[in-house]
Amino acid sequence: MPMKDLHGQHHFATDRRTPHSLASALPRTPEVERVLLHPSATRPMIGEITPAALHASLSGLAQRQRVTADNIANINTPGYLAGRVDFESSLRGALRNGETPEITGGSVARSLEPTNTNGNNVNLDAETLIATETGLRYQLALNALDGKYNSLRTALRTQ
Amino acid sequence: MAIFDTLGISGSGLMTHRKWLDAVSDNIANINTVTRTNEDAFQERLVVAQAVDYGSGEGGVRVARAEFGDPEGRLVYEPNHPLADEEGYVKYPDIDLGGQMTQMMMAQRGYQANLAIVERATNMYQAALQLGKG
Repeated sequence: MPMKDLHGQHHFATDRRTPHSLASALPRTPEVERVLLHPSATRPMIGEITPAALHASLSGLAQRQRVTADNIANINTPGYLAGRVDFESSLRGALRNGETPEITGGSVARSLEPTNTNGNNVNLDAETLIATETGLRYQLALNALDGKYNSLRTALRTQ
Repeated sequence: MAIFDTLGISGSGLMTHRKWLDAVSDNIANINTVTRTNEDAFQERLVVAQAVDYGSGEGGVRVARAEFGDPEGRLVYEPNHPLADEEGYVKYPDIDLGGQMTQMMMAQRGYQANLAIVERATNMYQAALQLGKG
């Protein structure tokens, strides 16, 4: 890092004093710097798998919250079957295979719980529990993502 | 998929339950509305709820239509009533107060459940909006 800074500043200073050589000096410099910076870097920190996994988790949890809201909105609608979101299994599979998880949200299935007399099977207790748990897990994932961004910010800080 | 659509879904639930509550209050307000025997009695207001885009899409619930109860009503013998016919009968709407009170409670609880989800979703969104500020 210090090598690069000294190198760059040195060139810059020289170029300012001799403007006619600027055109020939500028195009070459960035290429050299890029190679010097990370010659073997395959996965820069911003593109890491952790933020992608947390993002997929946040997206799935937001969808679950949406479906829970849908269930409670239809708590008195005759014939309505509660929706259930599953995003964990696909996320777990992607992480186990070492892939970057895709942020597609989860799959919605209809609950097979027994219905009451008007064909509705939304259970307010279950929905409230799911909403609470989803909200807490969402904040947990947000905190983890925030920590990730904080460490990135620390790394980017110059002094 | 809009950005704050949980709020829209809960909002549709709130509106449907409020409409239901309106219908129930209309029914209870008219539970003693007397008519002549040759006229229709006050008809019970019934709200038909329907899930929006059931299973996919934006979700939520809406009031599909309003339906009306039996116009026949029930005949009551009140010979001194100004609206009574020559046999002494008047017509009362065929509305069960116990049933209306039960519906009122269901509508009220449903409304509260939706409001609780609005609050929860707001907390989630606010937490998300704080991301990266620390």
